[in-house]
Parts: sequence; structure tokens; C-alpha cells
Amino acid sequence: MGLAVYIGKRAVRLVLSMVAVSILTFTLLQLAPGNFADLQRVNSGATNFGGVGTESMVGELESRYGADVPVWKQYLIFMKGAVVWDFGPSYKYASRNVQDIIAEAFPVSATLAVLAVLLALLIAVPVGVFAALRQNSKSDHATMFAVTLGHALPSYLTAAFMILLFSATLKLLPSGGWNGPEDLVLPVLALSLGPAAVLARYVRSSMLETLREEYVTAALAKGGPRRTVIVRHALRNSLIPLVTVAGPLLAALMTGTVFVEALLRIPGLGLYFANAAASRDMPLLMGTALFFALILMVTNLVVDLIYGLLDPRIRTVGGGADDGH
Amino acid sequence: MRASSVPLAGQTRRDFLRLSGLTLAAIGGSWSLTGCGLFGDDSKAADGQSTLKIDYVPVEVLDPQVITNGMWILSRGISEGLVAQNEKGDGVVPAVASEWKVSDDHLTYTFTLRDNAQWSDGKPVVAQDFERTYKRLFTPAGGSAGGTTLGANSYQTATGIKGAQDFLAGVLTDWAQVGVKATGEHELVLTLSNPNPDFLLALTHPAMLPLPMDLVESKPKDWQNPPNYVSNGPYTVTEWVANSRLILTPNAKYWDRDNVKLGRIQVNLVEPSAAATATVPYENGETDLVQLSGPDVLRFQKDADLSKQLKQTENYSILYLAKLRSQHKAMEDVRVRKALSLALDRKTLAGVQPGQQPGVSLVTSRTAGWDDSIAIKEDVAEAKRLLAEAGYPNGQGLPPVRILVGVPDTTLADAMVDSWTKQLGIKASVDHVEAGVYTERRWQVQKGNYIGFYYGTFAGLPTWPTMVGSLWSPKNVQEISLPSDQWQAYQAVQDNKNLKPAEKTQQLNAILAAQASKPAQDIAALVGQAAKEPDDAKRLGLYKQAAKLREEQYLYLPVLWLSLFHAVKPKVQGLQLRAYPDYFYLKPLSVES
Repeated sequence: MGLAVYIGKRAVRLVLSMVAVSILTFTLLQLAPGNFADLQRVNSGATNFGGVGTESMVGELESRYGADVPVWKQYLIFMKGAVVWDFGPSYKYASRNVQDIIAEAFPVSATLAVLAVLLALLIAVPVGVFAALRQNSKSDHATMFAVTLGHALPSYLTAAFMILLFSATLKLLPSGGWNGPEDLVLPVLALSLGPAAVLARYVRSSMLETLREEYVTAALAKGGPRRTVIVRHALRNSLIPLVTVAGPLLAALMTGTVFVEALLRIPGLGLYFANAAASRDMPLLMGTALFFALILMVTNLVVDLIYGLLDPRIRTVGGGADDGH
Repeated sequence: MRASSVPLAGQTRRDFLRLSGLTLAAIGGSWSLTGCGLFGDDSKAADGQSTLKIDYVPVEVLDPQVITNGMWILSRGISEGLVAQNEKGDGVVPAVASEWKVSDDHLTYTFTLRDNAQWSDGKPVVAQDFERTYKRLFTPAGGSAGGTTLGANSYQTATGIKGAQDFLAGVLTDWAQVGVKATGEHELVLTLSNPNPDFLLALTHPAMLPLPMDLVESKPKDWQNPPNYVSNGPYTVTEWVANSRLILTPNAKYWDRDNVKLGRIQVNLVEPSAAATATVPYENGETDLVQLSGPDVLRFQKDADLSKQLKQTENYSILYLAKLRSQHKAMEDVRVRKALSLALDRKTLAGVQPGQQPGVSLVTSRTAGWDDSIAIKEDVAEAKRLLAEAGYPNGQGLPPVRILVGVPDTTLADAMVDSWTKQLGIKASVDHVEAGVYTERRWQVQKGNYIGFYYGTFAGLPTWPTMVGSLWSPKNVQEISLPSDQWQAYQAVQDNKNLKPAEKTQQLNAILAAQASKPAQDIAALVGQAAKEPDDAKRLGLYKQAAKLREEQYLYLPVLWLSLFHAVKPKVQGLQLRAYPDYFYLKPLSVES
């Protein structure tokens, strides 16, 4: 089973999944109560001003789709554009195309995600190794307690704490906004703690497992210095499973983090996605949902490929298992 | 195993260097990937003391004819209309129009435009700009506003411009018959179908701001996006990062440029939040002006320094309840609705949050000529008597009364429920739903024994024509007075896509004429009469009569009059807060050095 065939099969699956995602998102949106026009009236500052009649103004919405275009046809019109990366203008951000919004907001979310995952790795690896080498000692328990706490704390709570500490009290950093590199500090810190905790647990358990491997025992028995054995043999091999965790973590963060973005006033993709759902902005919601699905699936594919590269055993097994038999 | 003999220190250092190199490469890579554009263009333009930073809600659209928050930042001083509001917001001052004449019958307004008014691209602002802009405003669906969202035009037909309503409804197709005419480069004539004492104030609504129509037509998608943006007001938009900020700089071509004092305004676009961190940017010096909500207002009031920076706009909006249509007939009985209104302890409710007053009528006391003859007199004993008379002694047999809420905060609705359960002994509850569910449910006929009200707020010009004629308008009152089955028939006509505009209007009006309640018809007649009445005292009398009759229907229950609060740094000079949704104008603002 060649690599090309493997990737080809994955690509077919990816396309099928995208179709499924688009149909599901569109259907759910149709089932959701309320529509863009009515919500816009209720939610905008203007709506609590002036006498709004009860006439439905929905009819004014659709120049692209036409007022009388049936729902299924709207879906087809949208998808026809979507396959060539043209999602059309957002309802809410009427002067901009959805693909332009994604092109503008994704780099913001992606920068934060990459930095946060890197920082998380920088924290997680030493912490995990430290705990594994002292398994069941007091310092192991203390570390794991801290890690569990970090895992349990939602990022928006961390962000709120950090705003109160670094901005309100210490006055060291801006409390939010997106004006310069200093605005990266708080969101990256807030976003990295959770992943750092998750990754640290993986490093610890993976390290423990590797330390019990025969080749480690053998290396030690041969009289290799303990630290060298740990770094060269144990750590290197125990980091392989980390790839499978870090990949999806990165994808999840790249697609935007609603709460942290809202709290720290960051113009990332998460905020658009949440607003699109809340305001029933069909093109924007469909566009971002499809984009998220794509990012997630591509990341998974890349992770699987890297995994195969790192561990030749997976490559052969993975190729065979993919037949589905 | 050569490698294992390599000294440990070197190994880790090399690993460390490799890792940190990778990290830096990744950071550098992601930055260079997006270029310097990651944080926007000129986010650090230093202008020292003449920079003002204010907070505003996110702006999605910069088109004044589309109902979004964007329209209210435009009227602050990016675009300039024929007239602007005076300091108090109860009259107008010249803006693009230097003067105007009103005909004796109060139907024709002739505006003279100043000949030095210019767009930021240097073109003169002419009367044709206004005519073309208003034509866009009154053009029905699809033809205008980029066709992607709904227009603000439904409000502005309320100005009473002749033919505007019919043109918008598609009944009238000849623009020449609409009362908007550029009769010269610098002369604009607006004709009304009825006298409207609020007409000049109504012209200060963002939808009446002029647009650079050549640009709007040549770049229908991109005209709103800087650097394309062209304005005719004191400031213009030079940068727009959605969900982050708007950067405003003075319009060099503005006719009154000498009186524009700020070098740059950074408008932070901030999602409203009740989080404990909401005021940190203000207290941390990242913004000079911010709107505050409940708990923060209390905290500011208690602080010796911060309390001086707190500015209140009293009686800004009105919190009300509106009857929901239900299969169950209890709420069709005016005695039940009246009992529920009389038993609301508004004084206690007002104490729940800062800046609130008992809302004893739908018309606020800010409206000139208001007196308590139209006010509700709370009376729990009478409320109990009415309930018993309607067949629900002590609430027995009355289904739970619900308050349908679609906004995040239910504090006040909870307090109302409390008021009813304590004072009347009835069952009541808050039905807190997502905004989309709210918009759909409030027009539906509720099933089974679901009865109650939906929760809403309105703000408007404190004038009788607005408070009686536009807010909870005669037409709204007629619609809400329809029995449930008739309401369903009415909605069916509204949703019928096969009807021509004129047919639809005619059929809807026929249902209202035959089925709306008698008092609702009387209110419409009184307001119609008032609009035509030239005598000020008589007109006031008619409006008051209509307002009182509207209160007596208890279809809409006034609950509270609410205030707005802003925190403003002492260095900000010239702020004139008005009870209008744009809150203040940018032009008089300066920053003390």
C-alpha cells in the first residue's frame, strides 16, 4: 500500500466529511429558531429605537439567494461557490466576503495557537519528565496536583485572573486589544496553561512506560550514564505519542477561542464563528464551519503522516489497517 | 553507542538551542507569514495629546441605512446631515444646511446647503447627493443597501415625507412623486404628507445622513472599507479592523475644520461584557470613555475619584412588557392585564439597579407637557379585586404568568416575578431563551396554557409624535389587540409571497379595520388627528388623550425608566451627552494637554 494511495483515500474521506459537515450545519441552521433579519433588529443598538413594525423584513435579505429561492437551492448555490473558495458576502459583515474575513482573522488565531502550543510544550516536557522520574514521590504528587488544577481551569478564567493581575493590579500589560506584540502575552499565557497540563500528563505516563522498556533497562545495564539514557533513549521515544495529542490541540486552538478572544478583545476567528451562529449569518457560519472542519482533518492527516515517519511500525500497520477489513 | 558518551551538558544545550531556534523560527515565521498586517496598519501612529480613545460596540457595517450599531457611530461625527441636534437634544442646529424655510402649512421644507461643504475626497456636497441618498433609502428590497441586509428605511418613512412609504412598499414607482427634490446645487426641498413637528429632529437620524453616491454605486461592495471610505463630517474613517478598532482622523476638507480639535480617535470595538474585567481598560488608561453597566456603576458611585468621572443620562430608555398572544384566553381579559400592571411594585423594582425610576407610563416624563394624568396608579387591593372579578380569585385558575426574555440579564424580570408572587399570590416565572427563540416566540400564538408578556426596551426622541406615534405605534397597538385566530390570519397574509405589495397592504389593513379592538382604532384616529393639528395646545391634548387610552389597554405595560452611564476621564473636554442612541457628538470633543 503506497503512501500516495493512502493519502488519496484520506482525501476522499475528507471530501465526504466536508459534505456531511456542510449538510449538517446548514440543516441545523434552518432548524434554529429566528433568522438573521429579525435578530439583527433585536440585537442592534438601533432596534430599541424607533417604532419597528411587525412586518417581516426578511424579504430584504436575499439578493444573492433571491427572496423566493427554496432552502435546498440556497444550499446548492452556496456550495457551488464554496468549492471554489467563494462563500459570498457575510450577512452581518455585509461589505466583506466570508473568505476575506477568514483570511484576515485566521492568522490572528493561528499565531496565538502556534505560540500557545509551543509554550505548552516547553512547560509540559520538563514537568512531565520531572514527575515521571520521581514517580509516586511527594514532588510527583504535587506536580500532578498542579497539572490537574491547570487542566481543570478554563482558559477564560485564567485570562480573567491574568487581566486582574497583570493589568489591573501590576499595570504591566494592556488588558486586551490587538495593537502590537505586547498584546500576545496574556492570550498566549492563558491559552497555553490548559494544553500544558494535558501534555504534561501525557509526557509523564509515556515516559513511565518507556522507562519500563527492555532497551532502557539494557542501556542502563550496559552502564550508560542514567541521564544520557533518559534523554537519548527514554525521552526521545516517549515524545512520539505527544504528536497525536499536540496536533489536535493545535487545530482546536487555531480555529479560534471564543471566550479568550472576547475577553481580551482579539479579532480572531472564534469570535466571528460564535457571532455567526448567534446571529444566524448563514454564509459566515457555513464558511467558518467548513474551514474549521478542513483545518481539523488536514491536521489529523498531517499528524498521522508524521507519526508514520517517526515510528516505522505505524506506517506498515497503518497502511494495512486502512483497508477497513 | 558513541552518542551516549557525549557529555550531557552539551547534549541538553544543543537540544535547547535547537528547540529555541525552532520556537523563534515558528514565531518569526508566523509573523512574516502574515506580514506586519497582523496587528493592522498604523496602530501606533503617535499623535500625543490630541488622541482620544473611546470604547464602542463592534461595528459590522458602516452603512447608515442598515440597521446595525455602525449607523450610530456615523452620526456621531463621521457623516453630517442637513441638521444636527442641539446640546440638549431637543432641537436642531444648522449642519450641511446653513438655513431652511418652512412653508405656512408646515408641509414644505426648503434647505439651503452651505457652498463650502465638501466630502473628504474634495468633491462638493450638493443637494443631489441628498436626493440620491434618500432615493436609495426608500427603494424597496434588493435594489439598494447592497441587498445583503435590511434597510433602516422602515423608520424613516415615519418622517412623513410625501410618497416615501408608498415608494418603499412598491405601491408608488414614480420617484418624481416622492417629496424629495434637489432644486439646485445647494437647494433641497422636502415635502411632507402631514405636518410633523418632529421632522427636523427626525432628520438627525443616521438613515438621513448623505452618502457619496458616485462611490457607493461604483464600488457597491468596497466603498465602506478604508482607504475607500469617504465622509462629509468632521472625521473620516482611516482604518477599520473588525472586532478590534476604528481609527478616525479629521476630515481635512470639512467646512468647519478649524473647530475639529482631535488629531486622532481610536474607537475600540468591544463586545459588551458583564465580566469583572469590563472596566479594567478604562482604569488602566487604555480608553478614555466607556459605557458602564449595573455592578460597575455601583462600584464607581462608591469611589471618591471614580464617582466624579461617572456621567448619567437619565431616562434614556423605557423597559416594558408586551402581551403575548396565547391559545389560553386569560390575557385577553383587560382586567387580568390591568391587575398585573397595578400589582407591579415599581418603586422596589427601581431600586434593583442604579439610575432607574418607576416607569409609570410608556411616555417618559422627559417629554415636554408630560403630567401624571397618563400615569399608572399602583393599587394592589384593586388588582386583587380585578383578578377575582375576572374569575381568578387570588390567582386560582390562572396559569403561571411568564415573562419571555431574550437578553442575557434577567435581574429585572426576576424582580417583576417576585413582585407578582408577593403582591398577588399568583404563580409567575421568567422564561429565559436564546435571542433567536425570543424573536420567533414573541410573534407566535403560545400553545396550551402558556400566557404572559415579552420583555423589551425602547428609546426614542422624547416628543409626543415619537412616543405615541412611532413607539408602540397605533398600528402596533391594533396588531397586538387582534384576537389570536385573527392574528394568525394576519401573519399568513404577511408571509404570503404571492401578493403584490399594494394587495398585501390592503388585505392587512382590512383585517385591522375589521378585527382590531375599538380603543385601538380610536388611538389610531386620535394620532392621525393630532398629526394634522396645527395648534400646539390642541395637538398636545390629542396626543395625551391617545397616550392615556393606550395605557388603559394594558397591552403594553411600562415598568421602568432606565438611565445610561458613561465613565469619562477628566481630560476629555466638551462632552455633551444626549438621550439619543448616538449619545454624543465627536465634533466638540477635545483632550486637555
